[in-house]
Amino acid sequence: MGRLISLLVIILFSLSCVPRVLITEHPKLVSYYFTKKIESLEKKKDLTFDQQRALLKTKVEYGFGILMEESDRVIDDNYNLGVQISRNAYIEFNEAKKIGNSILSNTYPRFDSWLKNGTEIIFKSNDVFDLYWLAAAFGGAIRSSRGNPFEVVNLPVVKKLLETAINLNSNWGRGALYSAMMNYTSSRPDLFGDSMVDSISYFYEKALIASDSLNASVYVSYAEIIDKKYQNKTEFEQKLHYVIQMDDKNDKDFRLSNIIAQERAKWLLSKTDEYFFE
Amino acid sequence: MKRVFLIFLLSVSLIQARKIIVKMATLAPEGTDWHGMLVEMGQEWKKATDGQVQLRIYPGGVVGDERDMVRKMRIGQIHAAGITTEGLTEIVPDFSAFYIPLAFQDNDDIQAVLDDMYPSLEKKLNDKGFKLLYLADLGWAYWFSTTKVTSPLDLKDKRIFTWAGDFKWAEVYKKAGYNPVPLASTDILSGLQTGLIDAMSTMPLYALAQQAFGITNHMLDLKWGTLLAGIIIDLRTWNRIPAKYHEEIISIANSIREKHQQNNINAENQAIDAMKQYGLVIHQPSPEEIILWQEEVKRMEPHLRGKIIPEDIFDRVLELTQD
Repeated sequence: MGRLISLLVIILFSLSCVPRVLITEHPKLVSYYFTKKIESLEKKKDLTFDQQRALLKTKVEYGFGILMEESDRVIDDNYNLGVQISRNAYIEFNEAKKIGNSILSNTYPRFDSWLKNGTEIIFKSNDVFDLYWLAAAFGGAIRSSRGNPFEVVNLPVVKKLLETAINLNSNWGRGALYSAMMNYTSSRPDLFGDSMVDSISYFYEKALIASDSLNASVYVSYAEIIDKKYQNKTEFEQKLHYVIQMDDKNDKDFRLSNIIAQERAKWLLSKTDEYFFE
Repeated sequence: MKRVFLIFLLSVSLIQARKIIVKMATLAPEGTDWHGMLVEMGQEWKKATDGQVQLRIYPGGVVGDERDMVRKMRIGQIHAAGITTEGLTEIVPDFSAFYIPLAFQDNDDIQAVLDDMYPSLEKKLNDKGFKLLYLADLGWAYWFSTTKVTSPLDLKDKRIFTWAGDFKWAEVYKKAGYNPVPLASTDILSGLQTGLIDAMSTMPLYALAQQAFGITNHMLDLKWGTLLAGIIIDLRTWNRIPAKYHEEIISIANSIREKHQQNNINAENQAIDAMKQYGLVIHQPSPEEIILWQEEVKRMEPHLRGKIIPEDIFDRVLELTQD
């Protein structure tokens, strides 16, 4: 019976036809889906190239979409528990880094040296998937490490991977690269004030165009990175209300991430008074 | 029935009225250990006061820099701040005691000065309308440069970063024969990339966060300065908190500080190790070079004593740290 439920959950999520209520009301089920998927891939002895890619992607999605989401919420009420969940995400991101490195090092034996600016590599357009997910794994490890210097030092690596991917195919993932650049740019130490707003707005516009404005997480990111930081309360609320009203059935590709983004938007809105001091 | 309802409403509003929201600002970005420390402290305060004291944190410079924080505390827009000696000096100039180059060489030096001056610093802050909850060291500042620097002479060839707006320090360096270049902190990286500056005195964690280590990949292993940070709360807010909770609030703040202090020391060492992996070279000064640095600071003394640091404070720090 347990195996049947597992199978049903995996099929439902894989086909993107899982009822919304199942995701929003039963987050543990979503978490269960991810852990089962990861487990089943990790059990295999020799992963094919596609399976390695699937494992890399699933670990990063699980880290960001489930664990870090949970950590962000829990940390407000129980700091130590929130940090513990963040540590679990850190483990996933680090494993994802290893997988991503291994995939690209198999194709390009000097990949590690390229990462440290030691050599040049001419990548192909079908490398974008690996470059993007590896960048996301590095970014996730930096964020979930909560300031660990050995992770923070890798910030330029995120930039290098994303810029290389953008040069190969900027519209890949319907704006995913631009969306990631928004997050990376928010961590740049050399940008502040208008230059920060302008740089992030540039990638924000690009991400919206590439996703036909159907990716809710782009709006949520902007609300958090810019509107919250620069205390634009009205814009913050407008964007998040807009996200909540988006129909999650508008786009199959973004359905799961949009539902997660909508839940985050609701949570952020509930904290508006805490974020804006005037 | 009506009376019961009214009494209920009255008691609810009284409970609401007793709830004190403490708005606290910090430059520490969200997700860092320093920010985490404040979050944890707020949760402990809430528990200890049965929810009467609730801390609301505004991280990452949302409220502005430390001068803005002090100004906003004075007009009641925020009630507390986690700030460094930079901001504290704005309120009480005696905090500049911790600015004297080379005076502090280990934690005992810092502790000796803290033990001696804390009551006076606390009182002076109190007189200005602020309650000091604690003060702790954040880490050491070292010289980072684009090429090897082991003696003061090496540094005189460099264009060194000083904080824009902090003209007094730029003057001190200029009078001592250096080339200070005042810049905003956000211009450090571009300043290094374009060669506008090629040396800076900073904490390893800051050099890492600034991504400056790729360019200033030489570090002189000499503790040039120290940075302390504390938590202050304006007295109006502090006095609104029932006195029975005061001791507990301070005790929580201190125990969380102690817990995170070790993390901070580890993070500084890790930052140096992480940067070494990316090519940072650490230079140990020879005993003769250390003497040269000490003589250099002695030559800077007339520009510091009485100008940036009150005379009595300057003398007392040297007295306490002489050994």
